[in-house]
Amino acid sequence: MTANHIEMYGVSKAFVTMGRRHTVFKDLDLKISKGVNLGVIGPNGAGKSTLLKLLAGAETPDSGSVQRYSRMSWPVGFSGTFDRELSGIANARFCARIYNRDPKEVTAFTTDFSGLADFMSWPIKVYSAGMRARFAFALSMAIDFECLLIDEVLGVGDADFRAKCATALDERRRTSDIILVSHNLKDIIRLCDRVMILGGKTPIISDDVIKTVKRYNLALTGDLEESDA
Amino acid sequence: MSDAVPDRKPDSALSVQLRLIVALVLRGLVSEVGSTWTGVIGILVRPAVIVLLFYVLYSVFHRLTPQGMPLLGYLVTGWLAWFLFMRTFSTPRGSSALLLFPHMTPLDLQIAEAVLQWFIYTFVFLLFVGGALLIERSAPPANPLYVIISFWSVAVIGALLGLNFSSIARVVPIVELMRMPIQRLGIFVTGILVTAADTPSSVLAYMSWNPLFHSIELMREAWWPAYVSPLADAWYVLRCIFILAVVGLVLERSTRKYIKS
Repeated sequence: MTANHIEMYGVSKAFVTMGRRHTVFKDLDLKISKGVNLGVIGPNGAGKSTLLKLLAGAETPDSGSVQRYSRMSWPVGFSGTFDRELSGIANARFCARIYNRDPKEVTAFTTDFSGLADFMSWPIKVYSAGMRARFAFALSMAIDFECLLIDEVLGVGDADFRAKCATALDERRRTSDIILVSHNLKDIIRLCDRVMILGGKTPIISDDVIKTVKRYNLALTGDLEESDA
Repeated sequence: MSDAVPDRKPDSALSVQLRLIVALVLRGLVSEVGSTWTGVIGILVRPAVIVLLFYVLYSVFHRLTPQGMPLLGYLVTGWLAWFLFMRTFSTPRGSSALLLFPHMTPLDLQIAEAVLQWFIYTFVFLLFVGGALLIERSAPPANPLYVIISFWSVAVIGALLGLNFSSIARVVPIVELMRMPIQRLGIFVTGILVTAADTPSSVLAYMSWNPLFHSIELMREAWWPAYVSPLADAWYVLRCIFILAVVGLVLERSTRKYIKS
C-alpha cells in the first residue's frame, strides 16, 4: 500500500490548437501524498484544469503514466456529468450506484444538504444555475471520498449556502484530503498545506503555502497587499 | 449535518466495471423509457411505422416474399435487426463528461450502451414477433434459440463496429461523419429489402462480405426451415466478431490519449 493518492511518472501532454502544438506538461513526475491538501495555482492556460482531468482520469497523457491509489471524487460541484433529462433523484441514485453506496442514503443526504426537497423529482434541465450548483455540491459531499478534486467551486449559491459548503468542506477535510485548483489565493491559503504553481518550465511545489502564494501574487500583479489578505 | 454515506466494501476491478455498466444501463433505461412510460411508446413507434409502411407497400404492389415466408415475419426479421444495429453502432450516450468519474472508461460507456440497446430491442423484437405470429396466424419459429442468437449477433457486431469507429474518430474526427452514410447505405446491402435467395449472384458476391447480411439470413433460416439461404454462414459471423473485437479493443486502448474532455 502506497502513502500516495496519486503518482505520475514522465507525464507529457500537449494540445494542437489552431495548427500550433501547445505543450502543457513535459516529463512531469508528481506524487501527491496522503494526508496533504494540495493547492494548484497558475495563470490561465498553465494547465491547471488539464492536470485535474489527468488526475480524474478524464484525459490520458500522451506519454507516461498516472497511478491512482485512492477513492477519488469527480470534480466537486461539477454538474456536467448529470443527465439533464433525468430528475435529481435519478442522478443521485446513478452516482450512488457507481460508487457502490446505498442510493436511498445518498439521495436523502443530497436532498437534505441541498435544500431542494421540493425539486428533487424534477428534471435537472429545469433547475436554475444556482439550484444545479447546490445539487452538484451536495451530491459531491454525499460520498466519503479519500481525496476530493475541487475546481473553483467553493463559492456557489447564496451566503447561507456558501457558509454551509465551507463548513461541510472543513468537516470533510478531517477524513479526506483535497486537491484544489483555484485562482482564489485566499482559499488556497485557508485550505491547503502544500501548493503547486504551474506555468513555468517545471512546477514549483512548496509546503510554505503563505510565503509561496504571496510571492506568486506579487509576481503576477505586484500587489503584496492583496496577497496579505 | 449528517455524515457522508460510508463505503460498503472494497471491490475488484471486474466488479467495479460491472457496477459501472449496471449503473449506466439503469440510467439509460430511465432516460429512454421516462418516468411516465411515454418513452416505451416512442421506442415502439418508429420500428412499427417502418414495418407497417413496408407491409402496405408490399401488399399494394403484390410483391411476393421469398419461399413463401409470411410477410410480417419477413419484415420483422430484417427491420428489427437493422434498428438494433443502428442503435448499438451509434455513439454512446453520455458525453465525455462522464469520464470525469475517475473509474469510468470509454469502454464502459460503449459496453453499457450496447447492453441497454440489446435489452430494449430484444423486448421490442419479441413483442413484434408475437404480433406478427398472431396477425398472420403463421407457424412459430422452427428454432427460436437460433433465431434470437442470430438477432443478438447483430448487436455484438454493431457494438464492436461502433467501438472501432469511436476509437478511430478520436484521432481522425471526420470518421465520425461516416456513421450516418454507413447506416443509410447499409439498408440496401444487409438483406432487409431483399433476401440472399432473391439477390442476383453477381451482386451477392459483393454483399457476402457483410456479416449483418449473414446474421439476418441465419435468422430467417432458423425461423423458416423451408428457406435455404445461399449465403448464411455462422462461422463467418463469428470470425468477423472476433476480428472486430481484437482490433476494436486494441484501438480503444491505444487511442485513449486523444480523448478531449
